[in-house]
Amino acid sequence: MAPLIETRSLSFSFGLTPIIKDLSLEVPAGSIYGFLGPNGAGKSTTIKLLLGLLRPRDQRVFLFAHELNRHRISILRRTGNLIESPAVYGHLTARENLRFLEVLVPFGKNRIDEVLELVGLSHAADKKVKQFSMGMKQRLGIAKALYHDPELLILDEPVSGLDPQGIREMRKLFLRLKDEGKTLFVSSHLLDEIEKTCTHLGVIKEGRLVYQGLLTDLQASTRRVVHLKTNNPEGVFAIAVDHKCSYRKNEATVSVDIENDDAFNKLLQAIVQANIKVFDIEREGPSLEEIFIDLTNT
Amino acid sequence: MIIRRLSFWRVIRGEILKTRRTRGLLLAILGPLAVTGIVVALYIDNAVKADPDVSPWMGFSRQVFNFYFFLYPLFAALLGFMLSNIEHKNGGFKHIFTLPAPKSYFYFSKVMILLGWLGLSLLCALAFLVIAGGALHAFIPDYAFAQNALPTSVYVFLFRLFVSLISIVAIHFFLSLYFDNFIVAVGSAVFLLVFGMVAVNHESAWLIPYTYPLQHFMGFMAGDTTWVDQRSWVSLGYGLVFFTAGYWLVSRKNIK
Repeated sequence: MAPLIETRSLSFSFGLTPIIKDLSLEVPAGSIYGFLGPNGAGKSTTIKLLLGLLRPRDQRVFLFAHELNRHRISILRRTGNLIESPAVYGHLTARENLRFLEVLVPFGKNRIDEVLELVGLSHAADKKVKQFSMGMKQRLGIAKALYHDPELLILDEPVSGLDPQGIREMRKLFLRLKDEGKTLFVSSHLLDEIEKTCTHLGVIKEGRLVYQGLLTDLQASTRRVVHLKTNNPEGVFAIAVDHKCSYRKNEATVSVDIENDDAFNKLLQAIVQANIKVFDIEREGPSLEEIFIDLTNT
Repeated sequence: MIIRRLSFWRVIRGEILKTRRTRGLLLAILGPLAVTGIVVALYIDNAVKADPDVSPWMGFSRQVFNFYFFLYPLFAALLGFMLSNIEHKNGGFKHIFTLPAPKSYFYFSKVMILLGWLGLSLLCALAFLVIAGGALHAFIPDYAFAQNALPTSVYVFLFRLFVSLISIVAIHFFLSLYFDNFIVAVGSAVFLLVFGMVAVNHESAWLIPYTYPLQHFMGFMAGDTTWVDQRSWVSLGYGLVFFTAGYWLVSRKNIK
């Protein structure tokens, strides 16, 4: 199945300064794709390119298998977005901000109340947005993105400014939307949230993609420490040496540095074949934060 | 759900909704009301002596239009700035240009709102003029407003003023789209208007939109009843060029 979002060697510069270099994104349909990168890496620029707010030289952006410039209207009909700070009109109330969308796209009498309820703003529906906190504006921005029930959501830092309760609520919402078959493209600095929410990951550094794929694949391919509690730590040492794994001993537990899932599988098979009883296995890291720092510092 | 493509009519309605609570737009009605009120007060106070050789409507209109040839161009510049500032201030361009409608719909709906507010303001100006004349007649029958018809030159002046404002609002709307800056977009109008008043009798004045309001006022004073003249066409030409340039600017602009 064709990716829902695809860029083909996309490059973009502001004047003479290259910002995006040869970026080939592939976002599968039905995924929650986390888009990570250090400050200034090009995340927001990429999102603006995906939505046609910035114009690349060539036709390299494809959404729903259609080229963006030639099918802009039909693509945007199926897409909702939140880009950087939410574009909400401060002199209007929350309800009036959504009423603007209702005038453009009638969606039934109750849709405004539905989306305000979804993002937890029902109590502030008739309050002017200029009196909102940043978190409330962010929620309203998400409400506007969701208003017309799009198939694809492109969200730039969607939980920025939200309190922990709000972040949790948005996480549940995003997971629910994914279960409904929607695709989410989310950029965020909250790696913990990305780890809890996303199925796929793209990591950008200085305008280039340094990783793209399943989050689980990335975690499986990275070094981690496995703590094994066995009845024969000496036997585990010998096997670890044979498999060229470094290790540390802590009473009955042996901690072994593992390269990746395959290496762990081979070690475990060898331990089992040596008739060593394994009582407990505990895996330690690396966290997505450590993986991210590793990827962006190399 | 896949939504229908947005219609131009819906976009205009949405853009009108966005102007809610934009207090500056009330100047469109409050401005002519205040000016007419001031002149009425001067008449009641007998600070203005009616010229017996001139129709009371002409005399009253002169006093009112004396304000309009300067204030309306400033209002036109302010209007252009206010409408684009709604988007600049709230990051609105990145929102409306990711809605499923051609950018031209949003742009030209704003143009129609601009021209609509200008037209509405001038209609209100006319209405307040007529009401004021009737009220003055009721309070001070000696002015004899009721015995005289509203001269055609009053309608002509307001119409020609509207046409001349098209060029000015187009220029300042273009400037305000490009420069998110009140001084550049509106402050420049003050400078250009003064320049226009100085250059009004220059042989090339017909090419300078900022001379038109004063020229039309001078024509009104002379009893000119030509609805459309050379300046009207030049003003429409400026309007066409700058509104088109504004669209070209927004359609190609990278929204950072």
